[in-house]
Parts: sequence; structure tokens; C-alpha cells
Amino acid sequence: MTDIKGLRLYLPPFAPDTSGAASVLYPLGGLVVIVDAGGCAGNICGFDEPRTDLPAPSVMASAGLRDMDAIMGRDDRLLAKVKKALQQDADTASPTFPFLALVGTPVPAVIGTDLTALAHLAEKQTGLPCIAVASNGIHAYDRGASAALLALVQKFTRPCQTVPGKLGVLGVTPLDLTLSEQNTLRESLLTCGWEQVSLLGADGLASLREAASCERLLVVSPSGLAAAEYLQEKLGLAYDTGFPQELTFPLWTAIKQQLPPGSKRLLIIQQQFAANALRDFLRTCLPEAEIICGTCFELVPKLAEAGDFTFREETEFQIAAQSFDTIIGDSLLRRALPGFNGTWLDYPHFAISGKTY
Amino acid sequence: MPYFITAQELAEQGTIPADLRTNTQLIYNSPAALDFNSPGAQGFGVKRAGLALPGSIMLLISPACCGRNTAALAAPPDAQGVSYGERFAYLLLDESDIVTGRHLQKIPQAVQAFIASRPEPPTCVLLCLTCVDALLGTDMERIARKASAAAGLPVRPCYMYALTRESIRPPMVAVREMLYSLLEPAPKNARSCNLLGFFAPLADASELSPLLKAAGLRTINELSRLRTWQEYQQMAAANFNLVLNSEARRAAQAMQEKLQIPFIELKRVYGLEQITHQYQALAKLLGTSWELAPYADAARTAQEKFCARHKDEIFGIGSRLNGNAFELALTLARAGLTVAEIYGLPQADDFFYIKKLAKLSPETRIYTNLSVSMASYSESSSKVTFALGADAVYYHPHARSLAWNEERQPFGYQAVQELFTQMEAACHD
Repeated sequence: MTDIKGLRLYLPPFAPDTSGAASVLYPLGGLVVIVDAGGCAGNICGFDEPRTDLPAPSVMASAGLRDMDAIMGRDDRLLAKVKKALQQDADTASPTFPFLALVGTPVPAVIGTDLTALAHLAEKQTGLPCIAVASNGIHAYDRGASAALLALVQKFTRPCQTVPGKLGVLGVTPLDLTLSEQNTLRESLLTCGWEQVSLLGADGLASLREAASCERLLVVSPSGLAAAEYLQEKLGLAYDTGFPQELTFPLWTAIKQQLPPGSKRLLIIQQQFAANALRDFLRTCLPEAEIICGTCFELVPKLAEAGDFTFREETEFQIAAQSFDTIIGDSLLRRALPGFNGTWLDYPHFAISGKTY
Repeated sequence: MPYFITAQELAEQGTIPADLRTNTQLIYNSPAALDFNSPGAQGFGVKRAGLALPGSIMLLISPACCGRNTAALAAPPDAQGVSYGERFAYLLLDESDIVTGRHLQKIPQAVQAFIASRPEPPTCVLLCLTCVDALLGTDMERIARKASAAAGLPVRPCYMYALTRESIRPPMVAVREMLYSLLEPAPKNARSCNLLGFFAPLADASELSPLLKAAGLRTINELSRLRTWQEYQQMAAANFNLVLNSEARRAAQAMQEKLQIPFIELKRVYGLEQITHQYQALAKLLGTSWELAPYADAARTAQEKFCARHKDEIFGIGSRLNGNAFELALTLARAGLTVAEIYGLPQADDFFYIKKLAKLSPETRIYTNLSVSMASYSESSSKVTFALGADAVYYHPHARSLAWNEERQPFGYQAVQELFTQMEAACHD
């Protein structure tokens, strides 16, 4: 083990904030400009976006920044490119872009581009609603997803008549929940008595425009929290966090069946809300075991139990994992624990390995 | 309607219009254009290319986002047996690193820790840098020397500077230079040559190697086929280099300077006459003559067979394939086939083909994958019945198709024969 900060000898980087932001924006049909030189957009679209069959997704474009753009700070050229793309769209038989989004990457972060100002300028010059997500490629996906979702509700959600029996779900992207899990979640909530379930954002831009019509909100991952807090504060929408108790993903059942009967100390590694829900589910069969939730992403203190932890460094994970006899987590993480002799049960997390099931 | 220009219009203009240039527009990141904009997203980018060095390992020094897709490379072997699992490590930067440059101090120590963590000692360590260090102006050569001294192994920087992709030394050119920069001068072997340009081997069935052997060469080195550092170092003994991809030209020039290995450039073309001329010229340079007829005949037979049976097919030809879309379109047009659409980004050199194509097929439409306007491309308003190239396949999911973008590189007559054979098979699927 090494104490060099940032050094990962085994684990590749997890989904970054750029991917989180793009994941929220992808199903909305807008023009999404990754303000990069090309590689970031390649990672986002080529690796972190599994939804290839959406009927009218956002158009993901790279700003195609070059060295002189960065050195000279030629924001005007970026705006000209944006306007040209919008003009091309306007020239089509049916213009499609309902909004423009600028997603930050390391290059604008290093040269200090004010993306928010640029978004204001773009909105003023084009008349199209424009948001900016000041991601920088350094932070994890949940921070980018959270910023994008917050920017969207601030821009698009307006007061409207409440629809009784309608639940709005926040924090749903394929980086956290597979498309199959999203369906299971929706069905489970309908079974629980909700008449209408809207996965805010994942169900398209209209779902965000009409978010204020929800009777209540449910936040299923930390990336939905900031938007929920905003909607509560501005529009009085109450929210809950976590998964409904009635919900059981098939994978959870499979994990439960594979648990070694003598497990005493279990570690669940997932995004915090999913890990918490799985813990509750497993406690029914292992009431005596100590079950700890760990995450390499955002940990909301008020939703954590004693012993739950977050890790940023690979060595932090290696040290923390030593004391568990059973670990439930994405199998990619196991690479960092070559000497682990306990039971490992795979719980794929797209934001970690890019693997789905 | 997506932007396009006809071959005739483009030939008459004689220059590349703004709509076909990358610096005037946003770059659409559809699956059709992904590996143009970010070579590492599919196929070989800088990271995979760097690891073509036998026994090398790579430390990626970057914010998390730059290394994200290595999760796929680090996964267990895929269907082709490709996995780089243990060969990557990461030094992830945070804001403080970027502001203070403190990460640079850690690199020698990180390299040592990386080496110590691997069961097999590596042959060399590559430091992969990204746009951040390009902007910071990091002198990574100096840091690599420091790390090399600390580790007792060669340590070389590998520049994944996407910002510089339209400079005179873009990343995929620079990485090819780096790959051969570790060769040490060696006595020449008159019966040895190197093939430069590709990161995956030439197709086994290509006639190039048999022809070179017929000319008396006994060792034909391809980096991707070399397994050990000793084999790699044998490349320094080559009598000459054959450059099969122009992105390797600078590497060949550097080898000429450092190792006194001259080079000859060949192009991958699909026109049978051009292939024959190229081989005849090469044979002359090597002081030999080759019996090309059997190879040429086999290729011609496959081509004629296809053209006779499928002359009514209407082609859409992309640029995400093993070839030059404009040269390939010209070849098909010369063979009597109809090319309705090309999806590509013409370069100045391509006017050689475009002008000829304009005479044969003036109405051929040239689209650019990179234009955001391609989001409105509709298969139903196109006449294309056969899509050739991974990007063409994306636009025409319902047409007969062939991606023609395998990693194994087709070359020469074999490429022509195999292309038409596979197109024939695609017509029967």
C-alpha cells in the first residue's frame, strides 16, 4: 500500500462529474455542448452512456477546443459554433432543440472560463434557454448529475396545479440504476399506491417542466438531493429519501441467496441510498450481522449509520475493507484487494465499472 | 436537412469549405463520429497505442475524466482476448494539484510504487499526460528522466494532448514517435525491415510479407507482433522502414535521423492498378521484381464477381473503416458501382480522388459526420442500399452493410479481395 495521494494502482477512475451531468441531460432532447477538446466527450458518449435506443435524445457535441482557443480564451468562437449549430437546427423542417447546455471539463476549469456567464450570453444571443454545469472532470459523477439536475429545475420547473397521487422521483440515471431497475422501481411505486410515477428528467424535459405538479418527491440517490431541496424551498414540495420498503430488485434476492450463512461483518459498496436499502433488505435474514455501507461517492451524513464511510483514495478502501468477511460491491473493486479471502458478491455499479447486468 | 456537398461542387471549389472543417463548428459526438473526436473511445487511442511497447506499463496522470474509459481496458479479456488489466495505474489530480503543480513532485515515487506493485517487472514505464499538463506547460521530459533515474528503467512521456490534434504533431503522431524512441542504435541487418503505422498486425493473408520475403528479407518486424523487449530492440537493426500509415511518417523520420534507417511510404489503396504500381515501384527500389499476377488476379476476380452480381447496389461509404473513404468511393465508381453518399472529412490530399470521382459520379453527396446537422440525417430519405464503414452502418441500420473496421489491418490485393468477398457475404446475410 502506498500513501501517495491520488495514486491508484488497481482501480481505474470512476464516472466523473462530466459524465454525471451528461447522463442527466442526455434524455432531454437539447443541444449539449461538452466544452472540451474531444477526449472528455469521447469518454462520456463512448463509455458512460448506455442509452443508445432513446427516440429523441439530446445531441451531444464537443466544443472541439484547440490549443489556441484555450490560450487565447476565444469564447466568442465557441459561441459562434453554438449559433451555427442552432441555425442548422432551425433550418430543418422541424427544429428540435428546446435548450442548450454547456458542460465544463478540465480545459475550461484550468483556463478559468466562466461557463455561467457564457450561458447567459448564449441565451441572450440565441433566445434559447441555456444552462451551464461547471463540472471539471475531477469530481465524481454524482456531483455533476446533482448540478445538472439543479440547474434544470431552476430553469424549467414552474408552479402548477398539483396532481393528486403523482410521485416525482429524483436522482435516476443509468449510472446508478439500470434501465431494468428503473422499470422495477416505477412498477413498485405504482404497486405501493401511487397513481402516477414520473422519473424526473429520465422521463424527458416535460417531466421537469411539470415537476411542481407532483404531490410528493422521492429521492433515490444523492444526486437528486440538491434539486429536491430547491423544489421544497421554492415550491413547497415535500420529499423523502431512499427506496420504498416494498421494492426488491432481482439482484438483491440473488445476493441474499448467496450470502454465506455465518457472515458477521458485511460491507455493501454502492451509492449510499441503494446501499442503505439493500442493508435493510439483508437485515431480515442476518439480524445479528454488522452491515456497513461504504461508498466512493457522496455520503449524506444524516442518512448514514454509525460505521458507514466514504473513501476517495484506493488505500482508504484497502484498509477499510480488511475487517469484513463479506463484501457486496462491483467486482472491479476487488482488483484493489488481491489478498481478500472472504466472500465477494458482485453488485455492479455502472458508475464504477461501466458494467451493467 | 444535414449539410452535404456534391463531389462536383467540391471539385469545382477546389478548397475545403468551412462546413467541412473542424475548427468552424461543434463536433457531433454521435456513434458515427466518436472515434474521430476521441480515438480512444473506439479502437486505438494514445493509451492503447502506448502499450504496444512489449512489457510496458502506463501511469495516467490526469483528472479522473481522462482515464474513465480505461475501466473497459482493465476489464477481463474481451472476445478478442484484449485486456490491459495490470498495465495501467493512475495518478488522479485534484484542484490543488493543478493549481500548485504538486503532483509533479510525486511522479518518481508513484512510478516506483507502480513498478513494485506488479508481479512481473516491466520493460519501461510510460507517463500519459492530458490537456491539463499541456495547459500547465509541464516539462515532462525532465520529470521522466528523474523518474527513470529513480526506477532504473526507461520512463517516457506519452502526450494525450487532445488540444493539439490539429497541430503539426498531433497525439497519434507523437505517440508513434515515442514508440520507436526507445530503440538503441544497432548493427544493420540487410535482411530485416520494419512495417510502421498500425498498432494491430497486418492481416495474415496480406501478400506484403510474402513479397518482402521473396525479395530476400528474412525478418519483417511489426510492433504489434513483438512479445519481448529484445524483439523490440531488433527493430533498430532494420535495413529500412515501410511506412503504411502517414501518421507514422514523423516516427520514420526520427528513426532515420537517430538510427540511420531510411524509409519508404506505401499507401493503403483499393484501386488494383494503383496497388500494382506501388508494388512495382517498391520492387524496383529493392532491386527485385515480383510476380504479382496471382495476387492481382484473385483480387480482380473477387471484385468482378461482386460487381457483376450486385451492380444495382447503391453505396454509402464512411470514413470509420480501414481505408480512405474518397479513394474507396473512386475505386467502386470505377468498377461501375454507384456511390450515392460519402461520410467523411476531406483533407487537401483527397482532392486527388475527389476530382476524379466528380467526373465519374458528380452527384455523390459528401456529408461530414462531425456536423450537428447530421442529427437530422434520415435513412428513409437516402437511396443507399449498402453501407460500408462503421459510420455508414450507423446511418443505415436497415441496409446491407459491412463495417470493415477490424483491428487486423488489411493491405494490398488482399484488402481488395477480402473487402469484396465480405461485401458479397453481406449481400447474402
